[in-house]
Amino acid sequence: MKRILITGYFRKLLKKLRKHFDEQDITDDIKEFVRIGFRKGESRLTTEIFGDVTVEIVKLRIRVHNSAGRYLIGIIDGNEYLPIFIDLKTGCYGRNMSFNADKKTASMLESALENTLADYLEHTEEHPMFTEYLIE
Amino acid sequence: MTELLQQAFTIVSMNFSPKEQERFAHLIIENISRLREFLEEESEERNFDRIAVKTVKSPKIQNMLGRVAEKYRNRNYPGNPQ
Repeated sequence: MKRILITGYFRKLLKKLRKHFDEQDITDDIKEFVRIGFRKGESRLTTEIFGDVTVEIVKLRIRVHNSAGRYLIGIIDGNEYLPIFIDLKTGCYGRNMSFNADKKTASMLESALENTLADYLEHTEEHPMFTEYLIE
Repeated sequence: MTELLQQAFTIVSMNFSPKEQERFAHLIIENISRLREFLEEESEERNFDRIAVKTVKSPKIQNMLGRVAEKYRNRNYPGNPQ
């Protein structure tokens, strides 16, 4: 059964963008991706293989009313969809490219990956670190 | 004009009819400012993708992804040999 896992860390990222997107918007968008596949501007960035389990890192786009964003998800073995990072298309990592933009982007992505994966690894039934949404 | 740009225009002229080439030329001339914006956006996206892949490939994240895969395997196929 395919499912979307929203971690505590990703929820924190979403909270910063609450004027634009909420959790429901993200889960709806991922369900749409599962149904129809890649749309314009979306792509698979890399596929990592660990024995019999593959982890794909995919870049997706979201548009809700007048807000446009891009987000990264990890897809574990084609079954678990794990949102990692989100930003606004016109946010500080969009058009306003500063001198240290690459360094800022790298540190922000590293932090998002580390925290999201840590939530996944630390999750137990007794101490849940993510919420599951089944994809029909 | 750079060599690559000359090559790009040669490809356009080989693949587009003269009428289409004229339309293409008009499009470039009339939208030159939007084109610059598009180039900046495109460059930022490519940069973002490159940095994301590099970060995923870093030893620290690879190690974590390996543990994620192991946890996934144990959660979903607990009887499987490792």
